[in-house]
Amino acid sequence: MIYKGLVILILCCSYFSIADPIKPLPLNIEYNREKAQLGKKLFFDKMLSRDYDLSCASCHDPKQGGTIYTKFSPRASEDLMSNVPTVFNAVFNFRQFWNGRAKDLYEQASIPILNPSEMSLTKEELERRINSSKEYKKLFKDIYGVDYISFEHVVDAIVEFEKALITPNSRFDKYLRGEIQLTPSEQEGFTLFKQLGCITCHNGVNIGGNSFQKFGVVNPYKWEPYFPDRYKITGREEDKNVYKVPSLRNVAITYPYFHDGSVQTLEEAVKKMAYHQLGIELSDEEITKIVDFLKTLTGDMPDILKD
Amino acid sequence: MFKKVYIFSLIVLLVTVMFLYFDSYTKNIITSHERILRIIKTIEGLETKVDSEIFRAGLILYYSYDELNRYMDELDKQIDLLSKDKYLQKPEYADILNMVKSYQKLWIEKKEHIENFKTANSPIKNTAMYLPLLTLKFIQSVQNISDLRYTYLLTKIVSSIYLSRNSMDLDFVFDIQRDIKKLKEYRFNDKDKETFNQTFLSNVNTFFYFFHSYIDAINNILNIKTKEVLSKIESTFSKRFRKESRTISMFTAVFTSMFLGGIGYILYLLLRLEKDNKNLQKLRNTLEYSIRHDSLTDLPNRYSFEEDIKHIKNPFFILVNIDDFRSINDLYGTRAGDYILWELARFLKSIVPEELGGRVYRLGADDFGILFDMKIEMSYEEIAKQIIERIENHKFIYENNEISISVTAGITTRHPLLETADIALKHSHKTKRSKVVVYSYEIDNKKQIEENLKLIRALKDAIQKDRVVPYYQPIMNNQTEKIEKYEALIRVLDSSGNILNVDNILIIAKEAKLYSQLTKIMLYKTFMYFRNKNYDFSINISIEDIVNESTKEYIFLILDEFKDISYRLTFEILESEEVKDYEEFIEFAKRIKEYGVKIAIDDFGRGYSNFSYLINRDIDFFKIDGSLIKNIHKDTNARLVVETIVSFAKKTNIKTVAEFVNSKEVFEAVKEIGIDYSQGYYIGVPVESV
Repeated sequence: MIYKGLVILILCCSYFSIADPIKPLPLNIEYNREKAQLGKKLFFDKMLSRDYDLSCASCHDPKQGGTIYTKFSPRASEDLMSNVPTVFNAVFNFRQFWNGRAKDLYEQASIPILNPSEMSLTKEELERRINSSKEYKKLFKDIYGVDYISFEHVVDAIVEFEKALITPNSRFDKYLRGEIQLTPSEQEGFTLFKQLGCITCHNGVNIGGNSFQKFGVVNPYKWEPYFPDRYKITGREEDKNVYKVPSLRNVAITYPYFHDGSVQTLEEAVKKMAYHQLGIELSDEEITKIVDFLKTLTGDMPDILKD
Repeated sequence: MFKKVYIFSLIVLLVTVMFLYFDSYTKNIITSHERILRIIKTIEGLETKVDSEIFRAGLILYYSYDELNRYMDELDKQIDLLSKDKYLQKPEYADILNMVKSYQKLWIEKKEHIENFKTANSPIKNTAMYLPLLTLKFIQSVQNISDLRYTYLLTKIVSSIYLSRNSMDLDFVFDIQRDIKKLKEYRFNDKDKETFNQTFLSNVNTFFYFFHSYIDAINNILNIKTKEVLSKIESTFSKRFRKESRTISMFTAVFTSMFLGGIGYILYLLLRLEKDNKNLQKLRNTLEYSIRHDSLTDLPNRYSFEEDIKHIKNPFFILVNIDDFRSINDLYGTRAGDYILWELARFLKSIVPEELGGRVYRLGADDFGILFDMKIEMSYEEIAKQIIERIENHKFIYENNEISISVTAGITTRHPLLETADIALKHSHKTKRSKVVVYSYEIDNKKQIEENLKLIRALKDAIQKDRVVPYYQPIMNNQTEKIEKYEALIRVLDSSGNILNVDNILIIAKEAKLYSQLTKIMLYKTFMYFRNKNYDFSINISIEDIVNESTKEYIFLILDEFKDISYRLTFEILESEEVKDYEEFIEFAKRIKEYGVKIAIDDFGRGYSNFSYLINRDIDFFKIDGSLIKNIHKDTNARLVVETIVSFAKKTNIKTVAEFVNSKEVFEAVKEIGIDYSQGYYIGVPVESV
């Protein structure tokens, strides 16, 4: 009897999940189109790196899902190495970087430019370069009304472009909006996603990107000191291997996976997640279903990239 | 006056400036206060929402952290807004700003706790959900009693985990440590069950691993003093505002009282203005009345009179004057005089027939005017006489004294009324013939003066243009009845040669200082005329001529010039004139005797004759005044006087001449009396040439 009572209790607890844990991406986002176009130009401009060899797009390639299909960024060193998070939908993340050290896009965008191990520019050099370009001078004069382009103006324009990088109208969003039905496999995958507890971390509009969680909750994951976890910021033992939960949007096209880029396929990523985070060993069937569900999260390319 | 206006304008300007300043001051305070309080309230609300989201996140299995994050971001923004609010940057708000800063610090701390909560919450939720599911899974595969005991242990652990999670009590955790230990020691032959046990245990461990930080996070979230600080900020700020609002109230009170004071003052000024206006009007009326009225008698005065006659069509005006009013003052005192004037005014008003539109005025000290605007049938004189009669019959009783007055009146219908009436009145006083005189041109001296001026002009003109000529009137010797001599009479001709008919030309000439010139002309011309005629001749001179050096000199010049005929000349000296310088006359008489000139006293017997000085002098003729002669044939009294004169003349060896012999009867009588010579129209009129 006691067991039945428990089951009822558990079911009751589950009934609290009435709120929508996942919301579709908005179809449009408010941004200044002129600034965004200017930002787009800057985003692809290698002038923003010391040796004129890197642009923002070098690591956040729109053709590679807003990231790159390599394990780490081209300049990753022992001090700082991580898989590159996608720039798509980054505007909806509650913090930026794996450990959330930037509170928003604005803070994020300036860091790689100035980072000596990345694009390695100084503010002054950037300003010198950008102000000696007649084209940029004119564009900034027209759009920002300034005669001298400052570092902040450059970052602002890039951020405006990044805001525009949203990928709406994924199959799952359409499903959420009641426009389509998922296939039985996708549907079951979503159910498993909820039942197994993935959703406790991967929720919200970005299906992740809104909390810090420990990698290796149930079954520990090996900790390596050069990855940018929360411990890098707080220094607290319990923050080791604690990362910002990555968004699952476009997860099918943003491989490899995890902070260390150690996993190439979605199936393996799902399997590892279930093992480390939930202490569950999933069946192949379950994995397939969940992967099918995850594939519905791939959205349309941002409008601003289309022309 | 202008100074007041300036001062007042300045005050108004000051008050306006103060008011504008105060207004912006107040607005700033109120809007800032509102804004800040609104932010504080928003922060408060957001924190409450954050808290409730935290509990939702704990409670709801499929919870989206987006909600929680959104409120936290919003809260960040609001705190930023508050800490940067320019109103709080003022030094007097430094304490509040510090509190805001410390709130921000606490909030950052709380955010960390929330992140820790989130990190712990997910595995807690997952394990708490997963453990019963695992238990349920095992129950389905229960095979023996040992399995059942194991199930019991699982259930016990699960329920303890539930209890501890829901009670947030770590004590339960210690309770189940024993059970977990037991579980750890459990060994199964079945590999699946062994794996199950490991899975179950790792989930339990996960739960307890996170449960500590979960509890810590929740406790930290619950215990952090953010809300206290926030409410302290609010209360401190409100208190500060109340203090500031007291300043506002004070200012408001000041301005309100200034405003009310201003209105009150304006009301007071309006009332005073009204009162002043009334007083002014009253004063004006009084002044106007007093300008138009005599203060003693309350009658309209001369000013009124002048105003009234402007509009009058048929004026009839009586000017009444109290005879010898001065003597009333002298006799009874000025107060009595005033009383008489007052009483007379009252009496006149009562007797003037109102139906004739009469109005009584006081026009001078004792002059009263009665003005009618009407043509009347009755003679004006009659009306005036009746009024005078009534006045004179009226008894003025002053302090038991009966005082009677007599009055004189001038009447006029001609403009200027007052002047003409006055002339009439003066005429009455002068002539004393009648108490009432109606104005006419005849009695108007002014007219005479005008006439005189005209004459003087004519006379001057005549002298200049040699139109003064002597006419000669024959004088007959009564015994021989022959014309023996002529009297030269002055004639003034106008431009066309006609004789100006002027009786008193000599009087006018004397007044105009032309007399001596006339004498000179007469002297010269008469001498020139008679030097070749075999007649005696006489010329009129006056005492003035004798006294006037220039004339006297000229007389002797002429006498020297015409020495050979001077013995034929007789100077007729006007007897009626007063001889002031007696010695002068004697001297003159002596000197002309040397030239054989004879002296006649003209108009002898008219009334001013001074016989005494004539007796011993060399008077040759008496020219007996015409008034005695003209009726001598029937007037016995006149004849008696003339006979006496003649008798006197004969005794003193003076010849007599009768003037005004204008008829045969007179001539006969004159001869009878024994007058030596006759002159007059009967004898002959004056002619230009002999």
